[in-house]
Amino acid sequence: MKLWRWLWLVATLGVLAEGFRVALFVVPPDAAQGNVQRIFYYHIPSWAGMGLFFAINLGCSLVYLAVRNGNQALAIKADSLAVASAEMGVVFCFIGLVTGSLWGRAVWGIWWTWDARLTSTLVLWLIYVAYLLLRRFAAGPQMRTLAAVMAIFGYLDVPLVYFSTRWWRTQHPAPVFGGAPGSGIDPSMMPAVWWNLAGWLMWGIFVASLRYVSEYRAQKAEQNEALKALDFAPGHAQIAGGR
Amino acid sequence: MGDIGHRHLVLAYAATILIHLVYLGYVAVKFQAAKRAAK
Repeated sequence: MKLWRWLWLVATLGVLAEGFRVALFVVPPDAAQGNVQRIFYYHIPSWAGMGLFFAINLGCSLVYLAVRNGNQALAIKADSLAVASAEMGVVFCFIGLVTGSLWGRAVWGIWWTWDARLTSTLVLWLIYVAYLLLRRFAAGPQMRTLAAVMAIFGYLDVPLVYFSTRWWRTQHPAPVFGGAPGSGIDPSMMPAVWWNLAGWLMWGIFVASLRYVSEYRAQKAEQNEALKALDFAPGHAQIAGGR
Repeated sequence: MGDIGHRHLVLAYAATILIHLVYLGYVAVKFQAAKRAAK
């Protein structure tokens, strides 16, 4: 692992440790919910991470589709980053669902309800799991193109998830940030939000960068194998000689 | 709320860290495999 990655990891662990300390021991408990509201400080960064990495996946999928026939080197980079960001987004989404379910059990008395926010989020998670399964099990040269197209359609659910609590009446609370006038949390709680948001996003970038490297190397090796096989193909010498 | 809330809070934090560590393990295995294959 390169030096900058080690430094990034050390900084990330420092920020996460501080986030943990501030969330549990520094900021005051919520007036209505008490200490269980502190789940918020791990719940929100998970959704922020999901939003960031699914957006990266969308961007990479668009780049892949645009350059796949003209610029192979960039196409491999874009596709590798698309895989890494999709996996990271799925992990963050899953954590958001799990922490939300635990929080719901404590304050609503139920683990799950089929309201618009929870259902659209579960559907989003399933779409990206399907995207990863497609990549894992589909064979043939069109797999990456199909996956990129699927990622673009899959991303259409992201704004639906985001606006679901604005468009429909849901069991899930109304937006805390950027919601109706008077929404938001007490300023004394914000340090826990910022530290954990920064820490978990830094963690996501670190892990996704490792995953990107391994995927990029694997795709390059696959491409080299294919080129080698072409070199040894019976008709190849003839074709090359005929030019 | 008290006791139940605390238990769910601990579970939520533990689940977050555990899921991230499990995925990190998967990524580390992939990373090492790709490194070996490149040699």
